[in-house]
Amino acid sequence: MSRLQLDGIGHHFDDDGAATLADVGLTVDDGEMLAILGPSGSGKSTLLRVTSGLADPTAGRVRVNDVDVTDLPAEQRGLTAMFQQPHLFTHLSVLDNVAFGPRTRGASRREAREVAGRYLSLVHLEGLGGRRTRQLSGGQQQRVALARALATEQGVLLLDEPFSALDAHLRGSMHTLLREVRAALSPTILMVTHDLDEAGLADRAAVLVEGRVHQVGTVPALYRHPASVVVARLLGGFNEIPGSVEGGRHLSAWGSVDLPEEVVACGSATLLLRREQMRLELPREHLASDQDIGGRGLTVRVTSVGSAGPRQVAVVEMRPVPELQRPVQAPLRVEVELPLGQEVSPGQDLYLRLDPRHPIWAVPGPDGEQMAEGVRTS
Amino acid sequence: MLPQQWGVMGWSSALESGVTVAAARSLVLGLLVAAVATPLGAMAGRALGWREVRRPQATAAILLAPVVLPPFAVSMGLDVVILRVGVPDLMAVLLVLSVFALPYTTYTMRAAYRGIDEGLEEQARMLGASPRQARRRATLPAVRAGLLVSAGLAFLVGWSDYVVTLLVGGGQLVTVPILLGSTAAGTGREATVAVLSLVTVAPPMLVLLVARAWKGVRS
Repeated sequence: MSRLQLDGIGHHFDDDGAATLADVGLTVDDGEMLAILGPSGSGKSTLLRVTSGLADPTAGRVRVNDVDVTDLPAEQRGLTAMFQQPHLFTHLSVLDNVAFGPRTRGASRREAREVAGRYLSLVHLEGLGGRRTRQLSGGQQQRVALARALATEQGVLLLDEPFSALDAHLRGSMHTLLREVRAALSPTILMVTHDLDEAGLADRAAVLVEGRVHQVGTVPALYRHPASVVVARLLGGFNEIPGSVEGGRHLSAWGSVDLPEEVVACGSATLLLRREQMRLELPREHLASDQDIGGRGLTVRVTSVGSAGPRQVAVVEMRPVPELQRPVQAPLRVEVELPLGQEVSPGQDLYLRLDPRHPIWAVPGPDGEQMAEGVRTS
Repeated sequence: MLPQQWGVMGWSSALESGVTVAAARSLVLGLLVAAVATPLGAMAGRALGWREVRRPQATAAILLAPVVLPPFAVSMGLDVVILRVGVPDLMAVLLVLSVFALPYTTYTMRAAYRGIDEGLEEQARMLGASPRQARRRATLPAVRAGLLVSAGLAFLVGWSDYVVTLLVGGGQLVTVPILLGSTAAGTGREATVAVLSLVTVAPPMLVLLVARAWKGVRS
């Protein structure tokens, strides 16, 4: 059984004194996998270094199985780690790389190699133990690195963007391998990543931005209900519609969107519309005077069409209707994901509507500064 | 240019002049300089290669100084300091020669450390190794070729030195180069000088061959 707790972790570099981590508190339960999701420079790798003992926190405690290990050196914390680069020992064979952990903990060469052989099999590299590490492909090297970390048989595994240097295909196979390892060994895992797909491997994800945890939850829950504009921006794919909440409705230049009775937010609020929760239809002239995204729709003009990964995304611009005289609060453009088969052209006038199958989500505040519970309608 | 007659007169003469003892002294001196300058150079090379010092360029310039400055000036300067402290002659020669060898070992090891993965030690720590174990089992094996070359260069500094051994050693320490110098100063002993010259160049040739063989094995 292994449980990892981070209580009020703070850290700043001596050079400039700027805080890289501030009051980070997280718990990873036995056998659980928690992903730290954050952009570059958010402090996620620093958090992993502080947890591992390779860096000292300026505040807070690290506990493993309720034992305070903050003041213990890295090798005595009951943790192991795997990094973005495999860091294989080139003077050792593949088998002896994996045997490194057991050897440093006092196992004989024969015992250590027996353990190493088991873990090489677990990562599907049986038969390659006698090779030099330089003879392996990038994916095989990361498999060896994973086997080597697991062979230490420590309860907690720290992963620092372990697969981000691999191409998409290899990354996919490593994700499958990680699922197999979890099923076989149930290690407690803390993984940092900037990749939403990779974070999806975890039971829960914590969003870390500028050294602070902004939200913790399952990845689908984060994606459906980001707690702030900051989180939405990190997850990507959201259009931000600034406006205000009055009388249970979100009001903006795009019209009004009904919010349910339980809405508690008042005043400034940002409506978060995902690209795929809007659809473009052929214009209906008789609705021209009823321009409301939350109602029957809004006339827009396509300004450009591009790709976001495998999907087509159209950028559309609102066409102000003079008689409505709404204050334009920006943005006047949003991105809409096109369903397969739909083709639109720049300059085309279309009707923009919300897809009723998707829940609507809004967060207090006009920008990322404010953190609060979101307001949701379904 | 070519010898008019062949014989072992030169060898006999060299043996009579004490080349065996001189070679033994040179050998011990070279090994001691290698033993002192190689680990120091490894530490300095690591600090410079991995930028673990605050002002790496200034530090590198100071370490390079013994090679850049005239050896006579450096030797005399250090000799004065060493005489005041009262260090014995052999120890004094060893210390000064180590200072001269340090730039070679440092720069070799700086290149060696720059050529390896800086994350190896931290990775070893995360696999259960103490800082000392991490150095011994992860980093040092990765720079062993650099260590061998450094040791070879430091040995050659000790083996082939003339100026320091003469000035700091006060003429008491007769090594092969000293013997060669004194023999060559006279006339009519060309055969002896030739033998002593051969003995002097033997270790550098050996080091070169070992380095080539090592490179061949590595590749």
